Amino acid sequence: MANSEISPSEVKRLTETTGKVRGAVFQTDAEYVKEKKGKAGLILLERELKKINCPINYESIKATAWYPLGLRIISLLMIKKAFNWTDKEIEKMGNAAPAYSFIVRMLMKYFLSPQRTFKESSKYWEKHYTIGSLEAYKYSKEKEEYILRLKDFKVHPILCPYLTGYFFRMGQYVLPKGGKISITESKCVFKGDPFHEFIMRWR
Amino acid sequence: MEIDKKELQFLKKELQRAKQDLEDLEIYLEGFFSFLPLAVCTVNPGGIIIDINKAFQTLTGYKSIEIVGKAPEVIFSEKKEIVRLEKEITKKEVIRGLEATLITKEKKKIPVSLSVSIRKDEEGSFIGYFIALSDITEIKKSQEELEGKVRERTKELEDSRKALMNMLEDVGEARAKAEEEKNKTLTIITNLTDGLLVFDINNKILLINPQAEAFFNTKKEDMLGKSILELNGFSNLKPLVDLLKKEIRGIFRKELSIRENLIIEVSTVPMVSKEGETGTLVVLHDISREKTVERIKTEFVSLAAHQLRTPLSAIKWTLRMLLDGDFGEITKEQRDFIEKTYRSNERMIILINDLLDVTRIEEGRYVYRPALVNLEDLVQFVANSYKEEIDKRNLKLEFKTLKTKLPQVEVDVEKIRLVIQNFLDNAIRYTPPGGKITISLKYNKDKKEVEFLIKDTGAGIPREQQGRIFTKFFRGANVIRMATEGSGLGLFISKNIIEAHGGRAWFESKEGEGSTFYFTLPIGKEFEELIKEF
Repeated sequence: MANSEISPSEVKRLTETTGKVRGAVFQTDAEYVKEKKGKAGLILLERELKKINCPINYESIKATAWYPLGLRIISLLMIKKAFNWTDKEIEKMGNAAPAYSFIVRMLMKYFLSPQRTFKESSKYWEKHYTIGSLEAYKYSKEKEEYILRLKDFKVHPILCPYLTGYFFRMGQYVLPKGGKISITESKCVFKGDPFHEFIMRWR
Repeated sequence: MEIDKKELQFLKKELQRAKQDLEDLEIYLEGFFSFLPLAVCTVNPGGIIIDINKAFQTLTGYKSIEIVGKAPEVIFSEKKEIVRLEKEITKKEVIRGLEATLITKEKKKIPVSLSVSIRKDEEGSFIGYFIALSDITEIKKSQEELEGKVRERTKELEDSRKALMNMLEDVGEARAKAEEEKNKTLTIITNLTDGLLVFDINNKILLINPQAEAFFNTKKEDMLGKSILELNGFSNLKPLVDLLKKEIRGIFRKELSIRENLIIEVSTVPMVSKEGETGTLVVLHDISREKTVERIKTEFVSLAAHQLRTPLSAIKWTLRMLLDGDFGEITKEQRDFIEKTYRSNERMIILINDLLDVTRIEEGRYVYRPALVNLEDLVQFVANSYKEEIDKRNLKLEFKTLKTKLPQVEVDVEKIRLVIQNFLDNAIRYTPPGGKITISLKYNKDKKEVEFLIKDTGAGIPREQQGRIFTKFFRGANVIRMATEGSGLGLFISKNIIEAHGGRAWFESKEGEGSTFYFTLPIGKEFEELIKEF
């Protein structure tokens, strides 16, 4: 997705998005910005959000509290706009998120093996989002791949690269050491598919 | 199942409380994790780092995003050991204090202490483990420094040990040498013809050689370790103890008669080392034979002198009568010959008298008759008696009298007059015409003595002969040519007389420039005591 201005109407539409998300995702956003742009980058981001009447104080966000999903989309869009980042950078951001997330730390007990992680992935989704469901669709040890399907979650395309990076990190946690891992979003609701589908492969 | 409104209200409140608790826990854990100085990473069962704390980030230099998802062994030098550790941890559950080398992001190697603790879920299943790292660079540094110091100290000790061994060897050699020297010294001491006694600083006898044992007819076993007072208990040693006194006084060549036919000469020598005085050496030299020879010689001289004096006196009076014309008129030529014979006879009588004086001195029979006199008067009297002779020889005599009156001295007048005569006679005889003789007297209040001085501008005494000036029959080689008269006994007799009075006699002289002779006489009671001893 290319960078674009966030118009007031877009802001209005997004704030009306149903569903909530854990505060942990705002925190991981803030950590990544600080990592890449420093504290000044975060201040800049907060200032830009204020300009569009969507003020977010990232420091006061609680990891386990629930926040509007639309606000999270606005946060991502503003990060992309403010720092002129590409989707690839957003994917990296998603990839880094589990490393910073308090929720992920709580869920560590599920990351025992590829099978267990695959099996528990729906739980993991539920811990973060109030809408949509993550289905552990297929796991093949022989083919060295597993497939996750995200259903009922048509919110904003910016989440596609973000989640790609995010799921990739989950795979890195559990897949065999030294193996080469890859992930692709094979299906996307914004491309006419009925759901998002992510295929993870390892060698 | 229907939930009533009240129950719903309760559940909402519980949920709210749980949420609050969870948020509080989150804040607490975040703070705890950030503050914890121990570097910790969480590893899942697959051996992948899934979380790190801030201290881990600081220590390794890796940010979360860079290290999460990687295996722990990538940050250690000992990769195989870490992999093995991962396998062992499920059995051991806790491993503490392993030393490893951390490789930071900047490839810097840091020694760390590594602890591993297993993680389990609520059902007790293995869900990974924590790795805690603590930087032990300083400890290692201290340890290395300590080891370095230990090595250094060990080396020093080793060096000291070697040095000590060398010293011990040296000491051993020195001891052997000292032992050898000691044996030599002991052999010398044992075989010495002189008797030796060594007293320590407390005047206890340390050593006695066989000769000393023989002198006193004692055994060293009975004497060793005894103080000088205790030695008084040995009758044979009493004369020596009486001589040495309680504190062992300094003695030089003092004669001591031990028994009949055994006379020894006793001298004491203080033994001084670097540490100070360590004791006293008493040397006992047997002079019995010398004394016998001397006695026989003295007896012979005495006998000969007496035997000679009688005919010489007869010759003297016969010659006197001839000169006085008692046997008739004699020619001038006859008179000259008889006068020469008379003077020669006089010199012979003087010589015989001197010899008799010497034998009396040596036999201890030179009796003194003390009387209080003014020395100034005595000197003046002698000087006056030589006035004619002085004028005849064209000499100048100056007697420097004192402004204050001298205290009287108690002396044998006849003998002291003889001393003054001897000194003045020598000065006149050996000072060429035109020369000057000066006599002066001085009172030394501190020493309680009167000093006599006679200075001449005569021939002086050759330096190499000055040591013998007060010995018997000595006459300077340079003056024998000047005056054939003189027995060479005058100074010997004078010195003995002065010393018998408790005084001292000495001289200063330079050949060709003249001589100055001195003597002193004590005032007060000293003389009386000396007379008693004499």
